[in-house]
Amino acid sequence: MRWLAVARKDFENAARAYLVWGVAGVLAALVVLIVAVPGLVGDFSARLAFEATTQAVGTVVPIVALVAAYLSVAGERESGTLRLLLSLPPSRRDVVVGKFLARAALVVASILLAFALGAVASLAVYGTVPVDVALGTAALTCLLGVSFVGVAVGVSASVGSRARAVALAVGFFVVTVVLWSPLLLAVQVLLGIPLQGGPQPDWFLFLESFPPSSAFGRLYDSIVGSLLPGGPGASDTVFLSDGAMLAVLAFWTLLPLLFGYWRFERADLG
Amino acid sequence: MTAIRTERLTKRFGGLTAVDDLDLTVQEGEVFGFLGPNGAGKSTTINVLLDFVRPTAGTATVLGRDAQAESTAVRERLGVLPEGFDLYDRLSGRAHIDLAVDLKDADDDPDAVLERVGLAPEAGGRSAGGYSQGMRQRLALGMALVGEPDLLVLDEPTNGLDPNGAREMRAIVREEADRGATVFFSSHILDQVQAVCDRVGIIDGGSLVAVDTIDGLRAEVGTAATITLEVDALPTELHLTELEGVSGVAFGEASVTATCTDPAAKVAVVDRVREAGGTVQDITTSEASLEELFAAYTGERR
Repeated sequence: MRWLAVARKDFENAARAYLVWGVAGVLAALVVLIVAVPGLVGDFSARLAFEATTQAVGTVVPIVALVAAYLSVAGERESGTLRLLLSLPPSRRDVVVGKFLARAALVVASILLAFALGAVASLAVYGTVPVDVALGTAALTCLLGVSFVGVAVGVSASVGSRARAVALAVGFFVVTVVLWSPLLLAVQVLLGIPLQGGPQPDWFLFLESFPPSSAFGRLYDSIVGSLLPGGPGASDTVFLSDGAMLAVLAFWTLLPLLFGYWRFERADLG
Repeated sequence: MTAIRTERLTKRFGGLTAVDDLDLTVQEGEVFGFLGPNGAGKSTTINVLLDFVRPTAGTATVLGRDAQAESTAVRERLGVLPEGFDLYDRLSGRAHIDLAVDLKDADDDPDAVLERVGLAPEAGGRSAGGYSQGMRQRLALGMALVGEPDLLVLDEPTNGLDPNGAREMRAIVREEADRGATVFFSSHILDQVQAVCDRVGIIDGGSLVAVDTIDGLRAEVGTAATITLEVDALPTELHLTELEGVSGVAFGEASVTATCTDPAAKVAVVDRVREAGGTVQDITTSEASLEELFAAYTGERR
């Protein structure tokens, strides 16, 4: 249970960082604004207002998670707090597991806080809280956040300096969130895959949904979208099923973490 | 059982050999000073004992267990003041001690630990980010003391401590040794070692160049006890270096200093000065300082 003691102290320490509060504050402000503004300016449904948060949340939550976790191991290694921690009995595995749990808990807490404030805003503006949509949105957002924490802790454990950790974290964000669509477009053009409406092969659709943010989007459309009037429904291909998208999110949570741990376990911490 | 044993331990970083074929044995219950100039391989050796770095060749055993394969079991019984550590700036001093108590499954009272290393309860409640270098060192020592470790590994423990703090540190080392703990203590400040250690090992260029008690080292180098005679007027024709056991002579305005490799030579020096007509007004003698011993062991290699 040493990982638990590591996680507890790490949560305590990380939760006091201004930067983490800053990005969590931005997330909360965005959710509140996106939920409240349509109802303030006109006649709008609270259910659709929560649904409207997903676009912003799908971009901002990865940033919250990366900021909250990219220094978790590399920063300690560079500063020397890791020497203090590893002079005590925990193993390197305890450290990676503890860091992941602490930072995941931190990100989940900030997401739940953002949606709790969103619910308050909804009550104030629309006089009601669409509990199913709000909870569904918050829960799926937590899955997205945790998968990015897995990426960030994995990246952090695999390198020895803050500079490398930040470069890899930014790189991952840029490739999977910003550049994925343009990259796929290039693939489409190269291979002559129909752009819109035409038949697209399953593997291509899967590739489209492979980044954590995209998997989150598809999962959201399928699970929460079905609660909405005229919303998109579940896909009938196995590749794009809810199970497949959950597997993609689990993949992003665990694989970078395992890789990072593997590198960390072999590193000289001289 | 031995507390620490390395056998043919070698660690290379790229082309640099930090530790070279090191055989080191520290007995249980002793206070062992690990001496060497900066860059001699002290910290790398300690890093291997703590499994921070993995040996290129050879083995390290701590408290009868393999330092690599059984690192967690080793560290359960260790108290470590590592070199180049940092504190969690946003956590209080007390939270640091709590962490050590939690992770070592100990039941120490954090306030008692803080008091023992000279940190007031009020300081213990503050964030470690505002601590001075000396307070940081004290807090880390406090973490090392948690859980009555069988072996204390202190890497340059007096770094950042004022003379008062360094004296308190030595007192704690003595208390821990009296309790039965083994203390392994690295330093490049030799006076620290002289005052507390039962035995010292001198490492240079990654290899041990000497292991002995301080007295033993003195006898072995056979150096450098000096005798200084103040005289009313310096006699000529002393020929002190002709005396058995005198290795060097230096003259002041009204004094003569002889370096004696044999204690008995001191009396001969006094006799020779008197025979030559000098009136001796004062005699001072000094033993070789550890600095000089240290230079004798490491100097020739550079």
